[in-house]
Amino acid sequence: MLVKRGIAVSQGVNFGPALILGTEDFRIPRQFVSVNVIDTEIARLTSAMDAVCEEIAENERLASDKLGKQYGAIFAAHLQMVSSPRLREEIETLIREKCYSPEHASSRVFRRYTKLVQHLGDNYLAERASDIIDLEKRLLKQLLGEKREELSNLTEPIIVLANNLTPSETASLTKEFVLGFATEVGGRTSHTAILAGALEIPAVVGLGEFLSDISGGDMVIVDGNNGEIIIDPDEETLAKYKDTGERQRSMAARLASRRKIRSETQDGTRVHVMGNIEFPNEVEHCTERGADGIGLYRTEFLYLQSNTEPTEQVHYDAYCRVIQAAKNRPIVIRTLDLGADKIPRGYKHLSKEGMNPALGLRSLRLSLRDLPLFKTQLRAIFRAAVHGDVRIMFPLISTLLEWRQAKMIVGDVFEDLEERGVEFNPNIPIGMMVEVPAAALLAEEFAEEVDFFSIGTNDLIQYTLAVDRSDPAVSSLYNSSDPSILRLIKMVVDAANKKNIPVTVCGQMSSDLKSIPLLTGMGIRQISATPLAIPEVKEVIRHLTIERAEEIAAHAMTIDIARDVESYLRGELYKICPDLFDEELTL
Amino acid sequence: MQESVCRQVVTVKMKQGLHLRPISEIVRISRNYPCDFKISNGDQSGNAKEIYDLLELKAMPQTELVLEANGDDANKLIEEVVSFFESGYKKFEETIDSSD
Repeated sequence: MLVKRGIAVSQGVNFGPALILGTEDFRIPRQFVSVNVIDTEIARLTSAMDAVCEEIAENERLASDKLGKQYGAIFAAHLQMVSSPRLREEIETLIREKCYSPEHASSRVFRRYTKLVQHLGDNYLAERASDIIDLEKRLLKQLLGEKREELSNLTEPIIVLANNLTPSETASLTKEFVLGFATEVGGRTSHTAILAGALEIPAVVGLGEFLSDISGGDMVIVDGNNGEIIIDPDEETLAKYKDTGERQRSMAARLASRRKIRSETQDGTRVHVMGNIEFPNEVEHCTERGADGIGLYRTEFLYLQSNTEPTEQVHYDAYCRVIQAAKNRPIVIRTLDLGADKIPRGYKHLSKEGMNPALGLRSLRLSLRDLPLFKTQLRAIFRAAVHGDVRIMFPLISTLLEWRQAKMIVGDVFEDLEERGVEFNPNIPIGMMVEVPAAALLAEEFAEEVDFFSIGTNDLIQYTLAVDRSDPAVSSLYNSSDPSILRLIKMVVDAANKKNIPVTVCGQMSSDLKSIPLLTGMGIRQISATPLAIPEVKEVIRHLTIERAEEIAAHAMTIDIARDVESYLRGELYKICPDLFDEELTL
Repeated sequence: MQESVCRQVVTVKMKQGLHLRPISEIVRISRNYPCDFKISNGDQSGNAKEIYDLLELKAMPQTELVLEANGDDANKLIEEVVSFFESGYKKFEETIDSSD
C-alpha cells in the first residue's frame, strides 16, 4: 500500500483498477487471464519478446552503421535487458503463479527494474531508468498490437492515471467509466482541474512522480476530498473507503430528498443559493440539487475547446442551451476571463513570455484591448437574453474607467444589433466581479454605477495576500479566512446594501461550508457555489438564524489571525449542524 | 580446456562507474564462456551473465570488485575480463558525451 498526497481538485472518493496513460496511451486491458490459457499467453509473450529483440537488433545495426559502435552499444545493452533470462523468468512466474496477463506481468516486472535503477543512488545510472521504460513500451506495443485503446472508447470502469491530462482529454472522460483520475503534474486552477470539477469526477493532481510505482490494473483509491491517492490499498483501508463512499452517498440522497425545500434561515430570511458552471449541461447538476439559479457561468471553455475563436453563433447557441435548461431561473454570464496566453491563435503576441500572467493582459483587460473578440460575445449575450433571465458581469474590473469603457462598448453593441435588425434585450442587469482589492476599496463609488456585485473570492485572496495558490511553495499562505479578506468583503457588502444593489459571493469560499454562517452574518443573501456543494450549503442556511449568523460574523471580525478565524468558524459550523458533519464523514 | 576456480580483484576505473555499456560488454564476454561467473561488490554478488545483476552491484568509480569464475576456461574468462577492466573499457568512455 502506498499513499501519495497531491492537490484535491474535484470532490468525491472512488476506487477501481488503474489505467495508466503514457505518452503513447497504452492501456493494459486486463490484469488476469484464466488458468487454461496460460500456455497460449506465454507463447504470446515469447513471440512479442522475439519481435522486440528483432526491433532492437535492427536499431543496433542502424546505429552502429550510421553513428558508430559506441551508439550501437546502447542497443546491445537494451537487447541484453530484454533477452535477460532473469527478466523472462520473473514475468513467466507471474503469469503462471498469479495468472497475470502478459501485459500486466511485464509491466510490473519492468517497473520494478525501473525503480531499482532509479534508486541505485547514482544520478548517472538512475537516468538509465528511461531506457527501461522505453523497453516496457516496446514490449507492450507488441503485446497489444492494434488494441491500443482510447479514452473515448472505454468499456469498463477504471481510474485514469497520467503524467498530465490535457483539457480536451479530460473533457472526453465519461463519468460512466472513469471513476476518478490522478495526475503527476497540474495545479488547482488548471483547466484540467476545473473540468474535472465540472464533470464531477473525483480527481487529484500535482502528485509528483508516482507512475513508476504502479502497474496497469492495480487497485487505486482516489480521494478527491483529501487530495490523496492510495495505490494497492490493504483490506482495511479499502473497507474504510467503501464505507465512507456509502455514507456520502446516503447523505447525498438524504439532502437530495430535501432539495426542493427553500434555503431560508430558521427566522425566515431567504438566502438564494445558486451554482457555478462552466458547461451548459451543468445547469442540470445545479437544478437537480435545488439551485435558485446560475450565479456564475464561466465562458472560457468556449474559447479553449477549439483552435478557432468561437463565432457569435457558437456563443449564442451555448447561452440558449443554458437558458433553456435553467427554466426561468436567473443566469449570470461572466464575460471572457482568460489571459492572452490562453487564447488560441492570434493574441499570443500580446502577452510577453516570462511576465506575470496574473498581473498581465487578462480577462476584461484583454476584452477591452480586443474589441472584435469582446463585441462578439456581448452581441450573443444580449441576443440570448431575449429568451430568459440573463445578467451579465465583467471580471477583473480594477478601476471606474475600465467599468465605464466596458459599458460604452455595450452601448456600441446595442447600436450594432439595432442596425442589423436582430432581436435583443438591452434591459438586463449589468454587474461586475469584485476580485481586485482596488475595486473593493472603491466599492461605494462602483455601487453608484453597477447593477450588482459578485465577489470573486479566489482572485480577491490571491491579489490581497499576494499568493499564487497553485504554487506549492506558498499555497499554505492562501487563506480565505484572513482578516484582511473578511474586511474587504464587508466593505463590499456594506456598500451594496447602502446603495441597495444585490451582492453575491462566488469563488471557492462560497462552497466552503464554514464560511456560510459568516457570509450570511455579513449580510450576503446570495451565494453561488460549486454544484456539488449546493445541497450542503442550503442545509447550513436552514440551520441558521440571522441573529446567530450576525454574532458569528461580528466575532470573526474581531480575530486578527487567519488560523484563529478558521478554527472559530469550523467550531461554530459543528455547533450549528452537528448531524450534518460527523467526524467520519469529513475524514 | 581446463576446469578450475579462479578469483581476481579489480578496481573500477570508468569515470562514470560501471555503467550500462561496460556492463553490457561484460555480459557479452561472459556469455561466450560456459563456466559460472560471479562478480561481487562487498556483500552484493551477481551473475555476470545477467545485466540486471550487474546493475544491482552499483559499482561506483574506485570500487573494488571480486571476480570469481568456476568451470571450463575460467582462467581465460577472468583474463579477458581483467583486461577489460584494465584498459578495454576505455572505448566506452569516448565520444558519447553525457548520455550512455
